[in-house]
Amino acid sequence: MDATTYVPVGNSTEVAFLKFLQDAEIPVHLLIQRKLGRIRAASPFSPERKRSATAVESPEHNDEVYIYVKGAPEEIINLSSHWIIEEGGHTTFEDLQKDELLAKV
Amino acid sequence: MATTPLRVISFGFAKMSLLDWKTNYEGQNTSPEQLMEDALASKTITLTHVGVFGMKDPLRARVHSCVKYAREHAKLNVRLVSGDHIETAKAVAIKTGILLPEEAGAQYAIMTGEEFRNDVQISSTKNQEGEVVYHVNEPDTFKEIAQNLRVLARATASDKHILVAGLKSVNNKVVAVTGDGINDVDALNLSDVGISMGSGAAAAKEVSSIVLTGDDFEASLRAVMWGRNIFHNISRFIQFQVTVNISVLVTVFVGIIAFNQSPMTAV
Repeated sequence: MDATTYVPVGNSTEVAFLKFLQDAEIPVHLLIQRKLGRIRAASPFSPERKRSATAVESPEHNDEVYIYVKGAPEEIINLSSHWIIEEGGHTTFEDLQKDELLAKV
Repeated sequence: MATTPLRVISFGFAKMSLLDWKTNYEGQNTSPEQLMEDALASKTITLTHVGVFGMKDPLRARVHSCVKYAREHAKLNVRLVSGDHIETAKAVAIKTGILLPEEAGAQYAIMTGEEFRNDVQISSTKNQEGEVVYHVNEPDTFKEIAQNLRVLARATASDKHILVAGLKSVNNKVVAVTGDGINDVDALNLSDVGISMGSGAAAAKEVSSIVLTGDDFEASLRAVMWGRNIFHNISRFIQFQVTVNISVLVTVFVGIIAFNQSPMTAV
């Protein structure tokens, strides 16, 4: 399947993200194909929780499960213990940095 | 970012071994989804924060003039009820003219779902059919809020439901709800007129009275205009009929008294 023929449909927020990736020439359709049959649990977005979560068996490493969470910044930041820094890699997410980031949001 | 207004979303992830997942989250009485949510909520799983993304949700070009028209000419009280962040909702409301800058400081003009819930003291009970029924325990506070409320941010489906139910029962208003998501289904169902977007969720379209195929807010104003037009025509017609019938009655009555016969006879 060619990237130009894949048109994401569904929730407009998610479609926007997929289109953003497509604009960056990331083969979204191939990535979506890879996760097929590997989803272990998917909990949809709920306004009470303000987040959605999906557990996927990693396509690269056979013995790992990744849990991906997407939602309101205040909620995700609160649940995080680490964060990815500009220089690459990840370090501990201190409360001070959390507050700084939330102030920017 | 939320003040721009952008829709802000964060991403995070966590990693664990497949063995760990299988032993702790699968094959138990509770579903893996529930166990995963519980683990997240109790911070048994902590995330690595990836980043915050802001997305522009552009307003349709004519919304501002439509809202202005609705407020000033159609005497409609337009409110914004949104699940978004309070700053986003406020910025959108100001941009669309739902919230005038001078109103922003007023008490109850901008509320979050949580404040709203606490102030009006909601309680819920189940009726015989097992449906949840909400009660407003502070009708006086609700009245005051309903009068001033322009923006309700971080609103849940039940907040929308309560607002519509309260406006109908406490304030005796005719309520139209515009919505497109699963969250809006309850409110759309309860409203006098439910207007849903053609691009919205199927469930929302199912319960609404009007589906806007072009997703155009202007069309809902036009629906209000035609609705009022029909109502107006009916009342004009009845006025006309009543006037004609009363005049004929008087003429015939006077005729019978004065000339001993009706002046309306053909022969």
